[in-house]
Amino acid sequence: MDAQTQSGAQPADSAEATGTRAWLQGQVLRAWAERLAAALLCGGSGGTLFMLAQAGGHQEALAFGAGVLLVGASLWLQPRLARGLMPLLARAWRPTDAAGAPAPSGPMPRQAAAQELRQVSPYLSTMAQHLDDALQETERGVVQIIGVINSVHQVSDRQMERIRASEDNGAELSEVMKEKLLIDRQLSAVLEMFVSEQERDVEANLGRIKRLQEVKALAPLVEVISTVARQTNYLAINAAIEAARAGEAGRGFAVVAGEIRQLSNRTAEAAVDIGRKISAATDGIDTELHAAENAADRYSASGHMRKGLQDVREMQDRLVQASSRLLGFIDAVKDGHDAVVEQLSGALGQIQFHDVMRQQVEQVQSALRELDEHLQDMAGQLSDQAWEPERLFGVKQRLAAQVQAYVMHSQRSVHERVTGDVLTQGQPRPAIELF
Amino acid sequence: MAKTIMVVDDSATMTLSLRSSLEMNGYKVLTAADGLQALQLLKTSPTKPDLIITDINMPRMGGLELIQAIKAQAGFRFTPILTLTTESDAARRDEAKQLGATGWLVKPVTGGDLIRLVKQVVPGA
Repeated sequence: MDAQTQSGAQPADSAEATGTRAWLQGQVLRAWAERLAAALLCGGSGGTLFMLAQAGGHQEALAFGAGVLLVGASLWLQPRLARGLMPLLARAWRPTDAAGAPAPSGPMPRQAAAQELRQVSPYLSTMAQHLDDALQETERGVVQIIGVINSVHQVSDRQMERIRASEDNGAELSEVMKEKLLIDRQLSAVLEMFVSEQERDVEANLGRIKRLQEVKALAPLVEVISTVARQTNYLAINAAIEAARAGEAGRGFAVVAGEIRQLSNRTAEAAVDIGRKISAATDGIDTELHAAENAADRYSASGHMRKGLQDVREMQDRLVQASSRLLGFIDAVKDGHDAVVEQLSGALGQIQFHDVMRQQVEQVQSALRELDEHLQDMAGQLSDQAWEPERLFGVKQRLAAQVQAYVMHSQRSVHERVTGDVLTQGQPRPAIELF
Repeated sequence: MAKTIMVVDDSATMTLSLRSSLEMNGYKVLTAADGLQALQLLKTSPTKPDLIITDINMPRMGGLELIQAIKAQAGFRFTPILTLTTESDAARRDEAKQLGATGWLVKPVTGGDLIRLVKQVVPGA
């Protein structure tokens, strides 16, 4: 380095040092102004609060409310008051250079700029960490949502298992009812036939027995025969008397009269015997008739039985209908379960947004790291390193390099909208493509 | 018998949500966090998957390498592979097709669409 250059560089360095000092003095002034404003506001707030508490008779609620209001007002006022105090403090303490002369104002010095750029690094790291935390927080939330969705599905599944069991029982019940109905109908038909036949038989027997009662009509004829036999006997006795009077001439007639008398006696005995047998027969017929009438009465009760059978059939029909309705209800519940599963599957599909968002955020974090690297390079070259433009990888180049990190159509579209560069050619391919 | 599906993704929320969605619809699910883990699982699992759904951009071994490795293995040459990825680059999509992938799905794919595709790709599912 020649002497001329050295002498030329000296004033520039001196001016830069002076500028740095002035900038630092400005920072000090700002800090003092902020502290002074805060002290004034704290003192004012405290005094006001004390006076309010005294005037309000030590009412804590009033003091608390006033305190909250004052703190809020102080927070709002503090930066404004600090800005107002800055010129006053600057007049009281005018920045000077090393020789005590007032410092020149001008652009931000390189050292100050380098220091400011170095402060960007923790700033960006903090922001990147916030993004990390937010991602983890959303991931925890998503995992919890999936857990809830799974729980809902398990509840619906258990419900469905119970319904399936009911369905099996219902179907079995329905089948049993149908079989039972068939058997009962067959039994009913047999019973119906049997009852009808019995009723017909009873009616026929009753008719026959009633016809047998006509035998009773023979009883008066027996009496007539008895009377005829008795009168014949009288006639035979008279004939025997007259034959005895006639003597030898009536001897033959007496024999005839004796025969007639024996005949009348046998006729009378036969009439008595017939009468007794007719009486016995009619007594049996009466007993049979009574029994037959009772039987007919009993078979009239079969009408009730028939009605009972009809009631049973109707009840079974209703049960079959009810079990069919139950099966229909079970089908509807199954459809509902399928709809629940479809909706839950849809919700789980929507959760993929988290992965999309995670990748977008990770790409931004990577870009922030790149930016930080670039700023630290700049800080190095502003302060303690030689200026080497070719070594500095520029922001424009870094932004162009980010394009290589894009994976999503939306990332490329945003880049295109902001920079005007064309990254996508033609229409995007469909989201779902089967080869 | 329930069909088995292998899900390969480095995102825990993706594997969890896909597992839930597929199991709800009656499938058995195997999961792996990257290509290497998937290949290891294919060797050790007693059940051969009927379908593989894989992400593309993953650490250690990505989806395209995984497709290539699976298609080179005897017994898995005809196993259908669907990619499910945020990647929209047409060149990578074409590469997946060349390697033998069955289809390319860009996230997010709705649950209903995914199940319909699975039924379409896996016969009898």
